[in-house]
Amino acid sequence: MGLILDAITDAFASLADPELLEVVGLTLVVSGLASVASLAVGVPVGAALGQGRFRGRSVIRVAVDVGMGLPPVLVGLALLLLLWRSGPLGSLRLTFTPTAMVIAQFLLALPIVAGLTATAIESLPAAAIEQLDALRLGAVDRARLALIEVWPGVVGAAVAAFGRVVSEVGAVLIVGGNISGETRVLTTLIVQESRQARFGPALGAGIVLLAISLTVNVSLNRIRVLR
Amino acid sequence: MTASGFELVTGVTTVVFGPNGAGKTTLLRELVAESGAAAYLPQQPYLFRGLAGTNLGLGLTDEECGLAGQYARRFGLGELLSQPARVASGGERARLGLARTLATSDDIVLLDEPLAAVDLVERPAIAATIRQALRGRTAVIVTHELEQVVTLGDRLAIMIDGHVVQQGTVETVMAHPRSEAVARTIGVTNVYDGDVVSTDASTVTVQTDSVRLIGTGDVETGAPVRVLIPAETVTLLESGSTPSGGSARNRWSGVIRDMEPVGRLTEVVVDVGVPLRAIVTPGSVDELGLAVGGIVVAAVKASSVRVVAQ
Repeated sequence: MGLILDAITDAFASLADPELLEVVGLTLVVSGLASVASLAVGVPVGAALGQGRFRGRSVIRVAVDVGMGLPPVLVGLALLLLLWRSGPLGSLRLTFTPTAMVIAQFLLALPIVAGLTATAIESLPAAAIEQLDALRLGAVDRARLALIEVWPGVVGAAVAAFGRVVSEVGAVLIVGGNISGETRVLTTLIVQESRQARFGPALGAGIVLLAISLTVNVSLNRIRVLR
Repeated sequence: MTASGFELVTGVTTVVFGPNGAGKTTLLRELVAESGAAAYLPQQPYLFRGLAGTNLGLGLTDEECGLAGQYARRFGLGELLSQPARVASGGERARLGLARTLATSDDIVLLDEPLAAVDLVERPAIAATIRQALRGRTAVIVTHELEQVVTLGDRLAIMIDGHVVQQGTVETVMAHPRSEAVARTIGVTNVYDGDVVSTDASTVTVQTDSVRLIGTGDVETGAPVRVLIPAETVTLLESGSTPSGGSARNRWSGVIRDMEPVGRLTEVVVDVGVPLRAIVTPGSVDELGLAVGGIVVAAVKASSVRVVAQ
């Protein structure tokens, strides 16, 4: 029991550590940017998948569904190979940078946003689809109207995407390298501290991570019930 | 001509009538797909998130939007427009969808059961607006209510089991069902156009070209109307019987012009100034000695004569 109580005491003490604040900042920036980018790309893709009839739709849909369950370490590894100095995108010199971490998390979140948006649109009642047809709107206006109609589903996709990226450790660890002061985020900090048996700071980072998840979830769910 | 045999006639309103499941909505969807540019009102208009007024103007030009607003106010939706669409009742949704569809300037207007969700008391006024908005345009209206056929239609197409089995002017099709199936679907109905010459608390007197009729209906004096007399409500009496008395307010003496079997019954056409069709049993034919060229008295109760505004 002593170990756990000590860890909890140390955890709260570690919350005042200025380095933790820096890590929290980077976590929010990396996961926030990745989520926003995945929404910007994934929502239109999901809207097209959900209502469009175009060549290759079913292939893309399968790819998206598979992508929703991709292991983060695999995404990290694949991206690392691409970005490695002698790899195809090596000239960009992005390995072990926050940019690489954003890209990795974007790739993890994109299929979730696209897949959940498509599912939300596919769940529109038949009467809504018939009305959309009857209105004879342009593709963009039609998609916008459909998306507003399934708004709670799109917000749900945003919640799921942020939840996925803020809590993953494999991809950011591989492409970011967990460099103190440069690419360390909350999840990699927890790994680092646990490995050194510094359970207090590890638990402190965990509490902050949980608080961030909770805050984002509650805020987005507030938006979900609006209108 | 569509796969189901429907012929789209330009410049008039055709009402497609038939029992539930006859394929009327499918026909409309076919017409939507074929025309590519038709204003279409689905049976259950759907309102999207946002204001009711925003829904009213979806996809409309500024000019069409103004007209839609006028129709909406005429349909009693003025206050609803500034409220969220989700508060709209089923009837309000139907009226809003109708206002929007009528306001479009598309060449073809297709309405699926436009009055089904509208309260009975509001129907005459809304029907009059539909009629006015569609005048001179090509329109197809689906309904399963006979009253709407005569209120809204110039032409009538009868649909049974996925096929249009008869089409023509409303008067012709209703008075001359071409088959027993059609007769069973709409009945044999005498339809006359006329003007209301007077009304009292319970009855309406209508003058057609050559006959005066007493019936019932919610219409005003001077209004152009259509009169419907189902053939099975016409009673035939021996020519000697007194032309007055009894409860039937309409009694005419006339010559039998034609007799046709309709299933087990017989359709008798009596010339009372206009052709009046009656459906009688074989027993009556024998008892009254009915034959072409003979003279009979035809009687119809005022309550069987339906008068609807045109």
